[in-house]
Amino acid sequence: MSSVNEKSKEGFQPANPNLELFKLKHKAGVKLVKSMSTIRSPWLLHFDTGGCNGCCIEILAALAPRYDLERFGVLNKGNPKMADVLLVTGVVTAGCVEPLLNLYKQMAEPKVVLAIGACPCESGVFHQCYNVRGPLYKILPVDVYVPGCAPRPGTIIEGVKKALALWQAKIAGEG
Amino acid sequence: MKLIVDYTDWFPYANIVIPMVVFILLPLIGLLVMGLDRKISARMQNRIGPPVVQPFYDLAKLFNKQEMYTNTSMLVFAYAHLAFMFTAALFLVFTQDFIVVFFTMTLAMIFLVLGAFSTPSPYSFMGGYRELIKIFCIETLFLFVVLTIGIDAKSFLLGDIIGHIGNLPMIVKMPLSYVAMVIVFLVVMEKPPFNIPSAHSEIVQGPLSDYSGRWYGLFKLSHAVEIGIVLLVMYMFFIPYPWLGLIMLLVTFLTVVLIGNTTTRTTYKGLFKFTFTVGLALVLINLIAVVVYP
Repeated sequence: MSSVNEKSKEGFQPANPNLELFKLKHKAGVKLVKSMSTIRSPWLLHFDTGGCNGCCIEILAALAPRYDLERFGVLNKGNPKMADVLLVTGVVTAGCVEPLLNLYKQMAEPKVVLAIGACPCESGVFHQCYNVRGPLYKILPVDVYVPGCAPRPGTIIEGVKKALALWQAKIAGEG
Repeated sequence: MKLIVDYTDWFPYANIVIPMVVFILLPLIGLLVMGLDRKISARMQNRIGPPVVQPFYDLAKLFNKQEMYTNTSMLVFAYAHLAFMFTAALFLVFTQDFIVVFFTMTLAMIFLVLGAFSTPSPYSFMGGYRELIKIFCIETLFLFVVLTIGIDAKSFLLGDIIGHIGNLPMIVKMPLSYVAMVIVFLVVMEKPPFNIPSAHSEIVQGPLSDYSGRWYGLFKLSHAVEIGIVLLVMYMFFIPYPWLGLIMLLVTFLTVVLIGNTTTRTTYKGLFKFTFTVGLALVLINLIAVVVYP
């Protein structure tokens, strides 16, 4: 906005209030479309760090017909370049830190990270094992924690919805 | 496209305005067909499914994502793919040469493969090879359908073809060519059993593995245009009777969705064998019939 005002001062043209209002409304409309469309089509990337597969099965159950995550527009894309939501299950071991960071870097903004289950939330029963590199928050910025061992599909769906609300706030808040 | 009658008597610019409206509606129809496909598939699997306008949300989201790409040549190929697909649609709605429509569409698909080969991802390469095989199988059928229609009308200009139809729709003369077009539609919709290039459980996203954000959105848009072109060509078989045409397109679409939900994916050899035995037999029998009994 400041740059627009400076330009109009340089050209000796007073700022047209209607035009300014239109620009503000246009910007707000674009932001609305952006946030509404982004929360309506979140594409998942599911990464298992080598856990017991319990949480993976619960995620698949949430995607399957009984819970049907696709009714919110969710698709399970096995591709970090197209994904918006990263679901991490299993305890973060030394071997998987590098692939996890690699996947996170390949995802385009805006993106959110969910820690699914007790292992990525707080390392669970593997706390202070020699090969464990701590809970997930030491590696990546986690947006939503979904506790449980394993969390039920309903809990995972609520976690995804909360992450999307957070994501919408992030988009609406940016300049 | 001259739909039923000549509207120029009561509206002087109808020959330009109506094709432009069809041209603008074409991607929207393609996106709606994709959304309907997802919704009906979900209902067939006893799910609620996403809303019908879900592809529009997807597209809006993709165009608002951060720009990420590995090199600039893949972006050039993405734009070229989109441009040639829209050019093919433009040739079709303005009733130009049918052969040119066909070759422009093929060129667009070749740019998709070049885009896949210009990235370092192995999944992209494998998807590119599969896409080439798909083009080889499907465009052969499409070319023979175009040839049959052209030989029947003794001209490849779409204006002459539509003028030649008269009261008898083309489906009466070429029922087997229509069946071949249904096979083409099945592959273009990326439904099983022939969704080999975009087999996401084997090769991540096939030829589009390395595209993200708006570049992937461009491919989604041109895919919608491609679906629209194939639907318009299938509609041509019923041209003097628009309601029959729309009902038959709906029946064909439901059949394709049913086939997609009840079969499993074959290999690329399966696609090759099917199109070069059953598909080629269909179009060749129809071609010979049209030549022998004009």
